[in-house]
Amino acid sequence: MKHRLAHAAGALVMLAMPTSHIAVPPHPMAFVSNEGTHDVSVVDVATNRTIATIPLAGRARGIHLSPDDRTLYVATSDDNPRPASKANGIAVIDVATRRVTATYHVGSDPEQFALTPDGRFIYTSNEDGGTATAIDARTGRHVATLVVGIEPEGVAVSPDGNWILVTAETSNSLSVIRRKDNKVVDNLLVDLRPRAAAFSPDGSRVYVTAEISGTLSVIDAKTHALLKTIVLDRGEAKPVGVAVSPDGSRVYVAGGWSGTLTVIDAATFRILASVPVGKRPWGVAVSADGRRIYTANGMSDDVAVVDAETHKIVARITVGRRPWGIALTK
Amino acid sequence: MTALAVVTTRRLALGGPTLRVGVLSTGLAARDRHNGALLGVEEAQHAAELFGGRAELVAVDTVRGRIPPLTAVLGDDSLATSLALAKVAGADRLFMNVACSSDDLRGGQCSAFTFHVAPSDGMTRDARAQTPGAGDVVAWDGSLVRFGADTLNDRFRKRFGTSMNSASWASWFAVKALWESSLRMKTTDARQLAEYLTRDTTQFDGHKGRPLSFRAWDHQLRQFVYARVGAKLTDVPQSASPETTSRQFLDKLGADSAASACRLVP
Repeated sequence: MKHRLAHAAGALVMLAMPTSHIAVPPHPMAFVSNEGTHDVSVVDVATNRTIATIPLAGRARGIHLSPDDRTLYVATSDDNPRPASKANGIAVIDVATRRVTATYHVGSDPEQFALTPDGRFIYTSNEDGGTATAIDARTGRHVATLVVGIEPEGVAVSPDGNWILVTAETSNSLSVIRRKDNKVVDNLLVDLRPRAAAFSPDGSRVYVTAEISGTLSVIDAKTHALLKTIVLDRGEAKPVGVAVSPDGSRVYVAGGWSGTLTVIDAATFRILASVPVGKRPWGVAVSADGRRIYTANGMSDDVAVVDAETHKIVARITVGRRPWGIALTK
Repeated sequence: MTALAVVTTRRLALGGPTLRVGVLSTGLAARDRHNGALLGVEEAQHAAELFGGRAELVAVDTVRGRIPPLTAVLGDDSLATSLALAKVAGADRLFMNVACSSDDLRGGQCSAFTFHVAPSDGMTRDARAQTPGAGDVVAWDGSLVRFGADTLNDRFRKRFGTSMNSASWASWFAVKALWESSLRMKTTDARQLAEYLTRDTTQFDGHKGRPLSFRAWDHQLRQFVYARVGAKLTDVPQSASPETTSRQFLDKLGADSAASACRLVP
C-alpha cells in the first residue's frame, strides 16, 4: 500500500505542475525500469524514495539517460515476445515532463542498448535476429544493421564513442563494432552466456559477465586479449549486470539468481566483498561521485543502495514490479 | 552407412575446418531430432560467419554400408542401432547419443568416442525417486522459460512451427556442443574433440541454468531433467547446499563413477 501511495502522490504532483516550467531536477535522480508493471519508477536519491511513476507501453528493461540528463530512453517489449507487437520499441521520455515523446522501432523484443557519449546514436541488440541495430537517437532513423552473435544481449560503448561491443548468449561471443563505418571488426569467444559488458572509464579495459560460467572476463580493449578470468563464487554465481566506479578502481557485478553484489578490486582482481542485496539483482549502477551502488532486485521489487566504502546496504527503495535496470543522473 | 542428402550447407569464404554432422532419419521422433540438429547447424553456420569454418548437416538413413566422412553422427532411440554406432565410433567420427536411454549403452557397453546427451534410464529413475508424485520425466519442454529457455523455444517455434521437445533439444545441444568445441579447439578432428569434451574444465550452456558437462567415467551429459507433477514441471535435482558445485549437484542423477560399469577412466 505504501508503494501505491508513493506512486499516486508522484502522479498528483506531476499533474499539478505546469509541465513547461519543470526543470531537470537539481539533485540526482534514479530511473528504474520495471518489467512487471511496465513502467519507470522515478527515485529521488537524496531521500531514497520513489516520487513518481512513468507508465510505458510494455515490459521495460534497458534504460539509459542522454549525456545531458534531459532525455531518458527505455527499451520496451511485449510480455510474450511477438515481432509485430506495438509494445516493441525504445520509448523516448522527456525527463522534465516525464512524458513519452516518441517511440523508436528497433525490431522485435528489444532488451539492451547503449548510447554513444555524444548522445547521437543508439545501438541495440536484436535478440531473435542475431543482429545489432544503430539508430539516430534524435530521430529514431535507422542507420545500420550488423550481424553479431546468436541471441545478442549486452551492449556497451567505449568512453570515446569509437567502439561498440555486443555480447551474444548462445554463441558465447563478443562482437566489436567500429563506430566510424559501422563495421564488425572482430569477434571474440568468451565464457558461457555473456550477459553484459562495461568499459573502464579510461577505455583501456572491458569487463564481460558470463552467467553460466559464473565468471567475469577482463579484456584489453585495444588488443582484445583476455587479461584475466575472475571466477565468482567458485563459478556458481550467476553474474548479469556490471558497472565500473568513476575512478575505475572498482568493478561491481550484479549476481542475478545468486542474489549478491560482488565488489572487485580492478587493480588486483581480488574480490573485496559479496553483498546479499536482494532477489535476482539484474541491473547495477554507480553514482557519479562513486559513493553509492544501486542494484535493481527483480524478484524483491526494490532497489538496494550500497555504500561503496563499507559495502553495507544503506537503503532499500520500493519500486515497481520486477525492476530490471537503473539510470542515474549526474 | 549411406548418406541420403546434404540438407543444408553454407560455403563460407572465411576458411577453417568443416563440421559435418550426420543425423539418423530412423526411429521414433526422427523429425524432431532432425529439426533440432538443423537448428544447431544453422546456428553453427551463423557462428562460422563470425569465426570462420563451415557446418553441414547430412541426413543418414541406415547404419549399414559404407560410412561417409562425418565429424559426428546423431543416433536414434534404438539400442541395437546405438550399439552399432558406438562400436564403429572412433578417432574419425564421434557418436552423439541423443535418443537412446539404455543404461547398458553407458555401462558395460560404453565406448570412448560415444557421448550421451539423452538422459539415461537411471537418471529418469532417480528423478522420479526424488520427486514425489512425478509423472513424465523429460529433458526439455516447450514451456520452459528461465535461463533463456524462452528464447530458444521461440527460435525453434518460429523456425519449425512446433514446440521444442526432448528429442529436438538433445539434437540441438549435441550440435551446439560440437561446434562450440570445434571453435574453441580450432579443429573438427574427432579425437581432439573427444579429448576436449571430457576435460575437467569443459562446460556448455544448454539453457538449463547450470553449466552442463560430460562425465569422464561414462560420457553422460550432466543436466537437469524436468518431472511433471500435475500440470507443473519441476527441475530435478533440486535444493543444492551452498557449497555444492554444479557438477556435484547434477551428479545426483544417474550412476556415479563407483557404481558405473563403464571403465573409460581407470
